[in-house]
Amino acid sequence: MWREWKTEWMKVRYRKIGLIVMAFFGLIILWVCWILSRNDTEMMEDGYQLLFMNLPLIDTILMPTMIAMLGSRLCDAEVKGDTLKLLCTMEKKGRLFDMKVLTGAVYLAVFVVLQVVQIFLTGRLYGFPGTAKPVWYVYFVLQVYTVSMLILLLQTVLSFFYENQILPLAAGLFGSFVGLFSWFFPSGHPLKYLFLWAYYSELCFMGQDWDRVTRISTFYDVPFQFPVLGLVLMLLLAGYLVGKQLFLRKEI
Amino acid sequence: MLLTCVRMEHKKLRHSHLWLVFLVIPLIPTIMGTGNYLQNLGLLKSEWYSLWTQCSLFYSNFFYGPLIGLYCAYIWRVEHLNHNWNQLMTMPVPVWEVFLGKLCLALECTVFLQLWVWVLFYAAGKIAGLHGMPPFEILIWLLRGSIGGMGIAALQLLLAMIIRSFAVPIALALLGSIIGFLLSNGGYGLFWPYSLMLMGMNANKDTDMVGDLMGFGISTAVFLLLFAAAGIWYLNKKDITAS
Repeated sequence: MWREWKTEWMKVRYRKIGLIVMAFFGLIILWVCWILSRNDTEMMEDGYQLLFMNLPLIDTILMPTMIAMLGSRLCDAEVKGDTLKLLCTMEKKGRLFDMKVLTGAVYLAVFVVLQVVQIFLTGRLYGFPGTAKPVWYVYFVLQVYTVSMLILLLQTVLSFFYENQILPLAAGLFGSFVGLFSWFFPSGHPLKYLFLWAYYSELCFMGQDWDRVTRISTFYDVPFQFPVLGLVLMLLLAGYLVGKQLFLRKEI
Repeated sequence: MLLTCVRMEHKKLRHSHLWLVFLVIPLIPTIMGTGNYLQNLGLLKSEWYSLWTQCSLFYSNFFYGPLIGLYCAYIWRVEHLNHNWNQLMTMPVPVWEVFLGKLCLALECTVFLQLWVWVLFYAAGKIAGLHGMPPFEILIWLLRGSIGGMGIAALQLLLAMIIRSFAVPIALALLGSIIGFLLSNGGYGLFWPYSLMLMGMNANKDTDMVGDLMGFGISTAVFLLLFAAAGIWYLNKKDITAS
């Protein structure tokens, strides 16, 4: 297993995946700075809440396309190079799928950890009063990481199945749209359960009231939706099993 | 010869699933925008113009750029596969015609995409109960968005030609669009190609965003010429590598 893991990292060497992921992270930093520059000092009182509300929204727009790129890039060596038949004679077919998903999972983990560090440092640099509740960080990681992993599984399967990478990438763009759309629906709306990308908004643990007259936003805690998290984890497990099965059955 | 190049590019796109993306992706912002419009009828009172603010909001800010990126990436993908670069570069066709042929096709795709968005917008207005036809101005805004998109098309073609991955240029287009959204809000839209398209389309505005039509035209022309020239120069000077 260690050998396959190492091979996977050798395959992505020089592919600059990390650079693109970092470019997305750089854009998130810029976006957050822009949001903070538009808010007055009163809003900074709720600075952490503002971040925990806005970062998942930004992730909903960016991550589906970024994950589509990640999935496509990870599978490029096999799809573009037509090396599946060669590889599957040397390593177990299922193991190859596992390694792809695991490699993607590492990139996503780094991306989410960087965002956590970003929240912490932004709070310090902008001088937000008080500290963020530690549990918010945990909820944030659960919210962003589990849903992103679910999307990664879908994208990996799509990238393996379609030699023409238009469909996986279009699915990523479609996901960004649908995810963004889902933020307009109230929590618990049936449509939110239909699309994977909508779970970012469904797992949001921060609410916002905007007063039209005073133009002041007030943030409030929303109980974290553990049943929804349970559903996401179940979908993750089912998605992994189905995806792997599909990959095992794939004619090469 | 240029026309032949364009015709050949058309042939290369046959049997791709590009039409599916072309038809389906713009449906979502139209549904989103119309839903938003219907929920805020008390506030949005300028009928077709108000509906336009909602429909164009997400489409132009975040997704028109990546869609152009997707077309351009696909146009070059055929060359990146199966050693086609070798064949392309040994054709008795000047490289500037090869590049411009692909650029013409990209522009054609973006113009047709805008016209399709207009059809969807019209249908959405009718579903939302708006009377008459949409103002002619909105069609002009859409087409002006395509003119703004020309610089993006040239840049995306250049990126898709250099970067051999299909996915990376599309991801870069999304990054560029979001930076464009931030810059146009800061009043620096004319200096960034990805902002021009959303300024041209008057995204999320019912009054004209392009105050200085001359500046918009010059900026679009400069970006288009700059990136097209860079693409042709690259094809002329760099050795190709066929995978």
